[in-house]
Amino acid sequence: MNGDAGAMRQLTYREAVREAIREALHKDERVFLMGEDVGRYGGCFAVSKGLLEEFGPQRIRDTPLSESAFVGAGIGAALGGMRPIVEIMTVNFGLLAAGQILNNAATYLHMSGDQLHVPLVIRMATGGGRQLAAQHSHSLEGWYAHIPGIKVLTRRYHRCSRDGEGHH
Amino acid sequence: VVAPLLFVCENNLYAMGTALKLSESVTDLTHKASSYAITAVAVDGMDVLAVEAAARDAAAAVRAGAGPYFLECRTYRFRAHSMFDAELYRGKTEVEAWKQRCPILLLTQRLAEQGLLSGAELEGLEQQVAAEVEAAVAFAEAGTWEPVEDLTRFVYSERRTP
Repeated sequence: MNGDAGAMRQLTYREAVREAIREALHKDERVFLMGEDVGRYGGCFAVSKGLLEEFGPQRIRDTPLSESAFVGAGIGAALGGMRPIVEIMTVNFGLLAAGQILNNAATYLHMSGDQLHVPLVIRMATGGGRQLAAQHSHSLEGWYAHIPGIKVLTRRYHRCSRDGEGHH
Repeated sequence: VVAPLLFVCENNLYAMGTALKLSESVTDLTHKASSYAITAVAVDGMDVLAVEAAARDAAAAVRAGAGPYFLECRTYRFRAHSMFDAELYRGKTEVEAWKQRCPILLLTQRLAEQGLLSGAELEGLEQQVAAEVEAAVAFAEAGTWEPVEDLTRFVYSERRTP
């Protein structure tokens, strides 16, 4: 905003998400981003484009193709005092990390009686309309909303999916 | 940058009820760890002093910045997995054979041989441990159930700070 009260900016989802991640990285040095191809490639949907150059390889981290492993590493980092943003390339791949998300990230706080906090953000692209075929195009946010212990944030209008991605 | 991380694997040869050799082609777990280009060492997990020495080496290497380290302690589980486990997956002779190598038995024998532990001292230690366990059970039995009002507490954080 530039002081003009009522003025509204038009952004794509991509720009909005990148801006939010940049803001979080600037505000808090505990924040870092990791996931498949988020760094050198620039992000599968170009959301993290330019962040590696701006924040360096310590805070923008490319991971192996192992969702269970890098979501688990994100949970560990969160338990250790960091504020990780973990990117899963598509919501479908999130199923490979479902055990980490459901049994660990969502459950530690309750099982530990308030001792183990997991301040972790997981970002997933979701929805069809990008010609990415059936294994990359589901909208599973409703499934994730069934898990006690995590909060699901998603776009309001699914008609907009052609303009960008939603995120959790 | 290498992570100062020590993995300790207590390999008791079984899952809940499936032998490692039945479910895995490669049963030497140090080979699997080596595939990540980290130091991988196996030790006789029934030998307390060997485990102590191996753990000291491992911790020193990690602290010196050698990166992740994998230490496999080869051991055995004497008891059933749980009270519902009828132990259909292994024979009693196998369990008895491993019991001959019980780590507590081996260590106390060694200490006794070297004159570091008398029979009376060992008995005293065992009584002390038994009393500690009994006290823990009594404490748990005397506990109260969690109030039902607390059932949904800590599903989400109640902290307000970021």
